[in-house]
Parts: sequence; structure tokens; C-alpha cells
Amino acid sequence: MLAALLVGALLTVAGCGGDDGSSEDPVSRVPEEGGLQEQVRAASSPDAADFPSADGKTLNQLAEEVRGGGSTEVGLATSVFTVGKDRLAFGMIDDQGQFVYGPTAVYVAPTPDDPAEGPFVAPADVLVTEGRYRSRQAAEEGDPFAAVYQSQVPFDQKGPWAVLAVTRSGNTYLAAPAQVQVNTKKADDVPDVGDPAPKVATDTLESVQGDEDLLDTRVPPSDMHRNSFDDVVGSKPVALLFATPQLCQSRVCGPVTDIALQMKAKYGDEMEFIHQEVYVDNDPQAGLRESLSAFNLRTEPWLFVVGADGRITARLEGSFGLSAFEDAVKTAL
Amino acid sequence: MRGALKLVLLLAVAALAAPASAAAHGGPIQRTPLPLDPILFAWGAAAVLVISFAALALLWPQARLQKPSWRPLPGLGPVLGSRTVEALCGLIGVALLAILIVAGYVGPDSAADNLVPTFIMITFWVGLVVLSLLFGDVFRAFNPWRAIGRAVGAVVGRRGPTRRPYPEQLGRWPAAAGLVMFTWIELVGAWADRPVTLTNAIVGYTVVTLAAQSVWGVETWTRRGEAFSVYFNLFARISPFETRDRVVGVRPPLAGLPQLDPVPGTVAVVMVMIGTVTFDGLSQGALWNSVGPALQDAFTWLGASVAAAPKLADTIGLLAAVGFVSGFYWLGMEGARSVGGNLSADRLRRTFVHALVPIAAVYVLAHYLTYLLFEGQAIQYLASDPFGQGWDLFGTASAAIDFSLISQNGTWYLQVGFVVIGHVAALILAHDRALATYGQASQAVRSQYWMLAIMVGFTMLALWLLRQAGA
Repeated sequence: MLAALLVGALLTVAGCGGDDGSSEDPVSRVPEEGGLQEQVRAASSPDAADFPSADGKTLNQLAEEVRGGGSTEVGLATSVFTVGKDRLAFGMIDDQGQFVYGPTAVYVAPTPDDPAEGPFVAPADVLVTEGRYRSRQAAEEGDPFAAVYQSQVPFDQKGPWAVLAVTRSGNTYLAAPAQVQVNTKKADDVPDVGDPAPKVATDTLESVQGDEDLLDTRVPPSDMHRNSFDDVVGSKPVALLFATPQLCQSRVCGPVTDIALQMKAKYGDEMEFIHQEVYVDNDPQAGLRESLSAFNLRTEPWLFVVGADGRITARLEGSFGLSAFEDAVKTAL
Repeated sequence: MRGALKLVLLLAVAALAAPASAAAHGGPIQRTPLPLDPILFAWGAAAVLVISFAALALLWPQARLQKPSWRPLPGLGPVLGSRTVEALCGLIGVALLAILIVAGYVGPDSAADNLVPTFIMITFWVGLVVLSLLFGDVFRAFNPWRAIGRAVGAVVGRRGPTRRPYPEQLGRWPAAAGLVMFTWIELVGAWADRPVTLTNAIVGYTVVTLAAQSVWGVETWTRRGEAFSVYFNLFARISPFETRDRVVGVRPPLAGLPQLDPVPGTVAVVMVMIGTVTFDGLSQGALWNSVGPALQDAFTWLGASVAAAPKLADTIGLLAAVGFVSGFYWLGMEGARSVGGNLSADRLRRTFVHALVPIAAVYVLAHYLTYLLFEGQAIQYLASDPFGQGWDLFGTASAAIDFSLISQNGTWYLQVGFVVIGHVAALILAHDRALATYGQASQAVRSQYWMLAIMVGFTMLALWLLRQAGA
């Protein structure tokens, strides 16, 4: 009887095929309250034509033109920029401390009085995972960071760059300034795409001698600690995530470990997913774990996607959403 | 600054813009402090036990639970106990087993996404304890191995192999061994993290169980040797519901336990039940986090691999916890022997072991409460897509865990409440049995000084373990 049921169930599974849920629109998981879902949907597909042209204008002139609300702020989610095209991720925060969502673009210039470049559209990348991958930390977040803006911005020289982020709100704009420091590629000591990944050991249940609290601050703990990075790198693609769900000090960290779990469910057969906590003994005052030092990391979170040949195929710093994570994963498959 | 945006302020504003600095200040992970000092809870719980003991000595002069009343459940009793319902439940159990095996092999190779780890470790192992306490021997009705065995028996009939008499000395020892193996899988082997490995264990256990049934008979093996049947049956004896002659009826709560036949191995089963949960609590605390690594280092020094050393250390810890609990009970019963009555310590251990079952129950409830209430919710979306095929059979595939179900303070109060109630229940059972065993009320009460010491000890241990796990 058991065998018959087994065979029946297997046939059913085989016959029905599968749907891995990848077709689901991630925006649909954003809460609808207060029109948030609608705002994020609009923010996820900005059109450059909706923003003023930068032709011949300085950043200051553009700021004057959009007459943005002065109390809007940019919360940058990336800090490492090198000459060339960089991923600039950020959140827009209003004077009430709430995240603002709408079609968004950025303009950049070496100084506010230099001619601006842009607009570079910054589609919102959803951070809200499927319910089953939501950690206690994410579930209990009172003002969840639902989506992070990200734009590919060209920086053609090193040094400080002024940034103007502009979010369209109806027929008006909200604008906020920021500044980033751009270095030469040579000065960037964090392993980049094409570099061999440092062959470091990451924590497993064995390495922390069975103390799960040291292994993962996520509640409940994830199952991305089965293998140490140095045991698998070079033999199969790996997604290595440095993050500390409980101890992240920024509002724009985002639930990247939850997103990693969702990606693991989809790509776990083809790629090893490893999560590494950040601080020694999960104590920020005790310093960084050795594996972060090996990657020369000074911020978190970071994602490194490494191909089967042991070379980095993508790296993401700071907050990154489902779309950015998935795109990064695909670079190694 | 509502007009023109002054970008010259960029430098000042930029200071707030950065991803989380890894040099941020803070402290190690802090959990929400408990509402009151746990030491106060411990003293309070001990006081409740002492007062209960005194009240029992004064107000419970005659044994009442040794031959409990039972009356059929009006209307529903014969229906619930009927062969039709039994067959239907058995069929559901077999279907669930089949689904689990398929899910284990076909579903995602991730503990969070595969139905098997959540179903086995939470829904089955913890959830069924709650159902057994509330509704009686539910597992007996849904037991897939019993259903298969009975179905095969009905088909094969006399053509099957000749049954052998079950060795009396074997008693419930196979069940004790089975429970140790399961808890090793849960707590040491961490097989729940590997759905295929866990499923292999399910298949292996199925084969062994069916083989044992064929040798000693379905009902005998279910009653004595099959670990989960024995485990859940012990908890079910606390429930007010009992089936007699195919009729479900009602009895006083706890009254099923004095009827327990203390065959060889019964004490071992109860010790394993308490000891393994003790180790689980201990392993999450500071004490084991200092002892465990030292043991691991010792095993590594002796030549064990880095992967094997933690498992060896945890195996030692698991067995030591069972040994510690057994030793504590053994000591208590040695003390009880000193009050007279010409009863051997072995007989006393068997005579009073049923009283420890409520303690085993509250250890499970207190220790796994949040596990059941929070992680257990995962079953709603896993069941809706049991094979990880993107299905949504029950419309719950996109459900999420509701972490606001109960607060940490609420959890702590519930846990302490369970611990106290369980130990008072144990005192009642032991007192009632002492009255029946010793005949004289005064001697019975004196014998229970030792049982009170055991209960206070187990209460303190339970609260300390909860504190360890939450510290």
C-alpha cells in the first residue's frame, strides 16, 4: 500500500511538473497599506523622460529646477566606488523619517557647480521576501525598508562626487543631495569581479563548536552554514554573504539574509549559499571576523558571487534587493 | 531650506550616508530581560510544591486514581472508536508517511523549504505531544506502521510468518533505544538540516518497525517496542480521554498513568524522555558552551576529525544528561526505600515512574513552546506545497510566520506555569500511588519526602534550563 502511494505521489509530481514561483511579481508582496505597494510599483520602473534633462546645467541649477523638499535625505546603501560604472544604492527618507517611494533618478557631478550628468534612473528593487523567508527581525520591523533604489552611475574620475537624487511625487519632485568618494580601481582593496576569491574559512556548526548563537544572529537561524567557503570554492559556484541580521546598525541594511534564503530555494541546486556573521562572538566591540578581514571589508553587508573557477563574478555592497541578488547569482551559473 | 537646494551642504549631509559600518558600537546580542529574576520564580515554584505536598498529606488521605472511573463519551464515543474511523485514520497516517517520504526525496534540499524537517521535528515530535495530552492516544489511531501492519496481517492472515512470543525482559527497552536514536538524530546528528538524510531515517525506521511487527505481532510491538507509540501513549495517559472496547470515554485527568504496566525498560523510557530534553536545554546554555568545546578538543586530540568531535562530545552530553536524570531518580528512590515497607529500590523505581511522565510532558511543553508556536507555523505553507513544486493546495503557500503570536514575557509565564503544574501533577500521582503501596497514610507521606525532593530538584532543573536557553 505504501509503495503504491509512493509511486502515485511520485507520478503526480512528475506529471504535474513544477512552478518555482519565479514568475510572481515581487512588488505584490509589498504591503498595500497607505498605497505603499502602488508607490513601490511606480518606483520600480522609472522613465528617464520623466526627469529634467541635465544638458548644460550644473547640479545646483538642476536642484533649483526641481525645487526639491530640503528636508528629504538620502540614505546611501553603498560606499565603495571606483572609477567607471558603479552601483549606487540608496533610500530616500522624508522629514518624518519615513522611506519615500516613487520614480527616482540621480544626477552626478564632481562638484555642485560642475555640469551634471544624468538622469540615471534608479529603479526600486524590492526587499520584501516571500513570507516563508521572512526572519523575526524583518517581521518585527516597524517601518520596513520595502525597496532600495539602485542606479548604475558612471564616475569618470577619482575624488569626491556630488549626487542629487530626485524622486518624482505626482507633478512635483523630492530631491536630496549626497556625496560619494570615488577611488581608482587600484586603490580599492576589496576583491572585485574577475579577481580570485580569497580562500577563507567561514563558520560552520563545527567551527563554532556547536554554539548556534555564534553561527547566526538571524531568528530563526538559516541553513546556510553547512560548508565552509574554503571547502567549496573552486569546485562549484558559491554565493557568499557577509551580514549580521541582528546587529546591523543601519536603517538601510535590508533583509539580505532573508533574500539569500529565497535565492537559495531557487538556485540551491546549482550554487552553494553561505552566510557569514560579521563580528567576533557577535560582539561589535570585539572586531571583525577573520573572513571579513581577508576580503578587506569595512562595511556590511556584502555579497560575493564566485564562479566554479573560484573567481568573483559579481559583488554587491550594502543593501540589495531580490532583483540585484538574482542578477548577481546568474553571473556564476 | 524649501527653495533652492543648497548642494554646498553636501559635505555635512553626507555624514549620515553610508552602509552599516562594521565598526559600529554596540554589545553582544542581548535578549529581552525576563520580567522577574528567575531565582524568584524558582523559589516560588518550590514553595508551590511544598504547599501542594502539605495539602495532599492533609486532604488526600485515600488512593483515588488507582482504579479510576470511566464513562463513554455520549453519542460520539462508539463512533470515534469504531473500526471505520480507525481504518480512516490509519489510511491518513499511511498517506502522510508516503507524502513525507516523497517530499523528502523530491522536495528542496533545504530544511526551511522541505516539508519533512518541520513536520517531523515540530508538528509530529512536539505537536503530537500536545494533542496526546489533550485528546488521548491520537497517534495510535494515525500510526502508519500499525495501520500497514494490520492491513498486511488482514491480507496475509495465517500465511504469514509464525509470531514469536515477545521476550518479557525486553519490555520497553527497544522503545527507550529508539527514543535515544531519534533524539540523537535531532540534537546531535542535526539530520533535520538534511531532508534526504532524515527521510532515509524514516524509511529505515519503517523497515525495522514492519520487520519487528512481523516477528512479534503488530499490537505487541506497537505497545512495547515502537518508540513513538510508547512515547505518545505515555503522554496520552494524562489526557481525560481513553478508548476501551472500541468506545472513546472520559476518565479523570492523569488517571491513565497509574494503570501503566511498569515492565522492564519503562523507567528507561521516562528517563530518556526527561534526560534528552534536559540536554537540549543544557546545550543552549553557557555551561555546555564551556564544557562542550573542551570535550571536543579532547576528542580532536585523541584523533577525531573536526566534524566528528562535536558529535562525539554531544553524544557524551546526551547520554550524560540521561544518566544524570536517572541517577537523581535512583537516589530519590534509594531514599524512599529507607522509610520501610520492605520494597526494593528497583520496585520503587518502577512503582513511581509513572509520576514522572507529567514532568516529561512539561519539559517538552516548556522547552519547545516557542519552537511549536513560531517555527511550527511553517507547516501551513510547507503543507500547501509539500513537494516544493510551486503548488498552493490550501491557499497558504504564501503565508508567513506570525512572530507576534506571544510575547517573550508571555512565553516565560507560560513556561513557568507548565513546569509548576506538571510537578504538582507528579506529586499527586506519587502521593496517590504511595497511599496504595504503603497502606498506612503516615508511611506514605514519609516516603514522599523523597519524592518531594525529586520534584523540587526537577523543577529547579527545568527553570535553570529555561534560563540557560534564554540567557
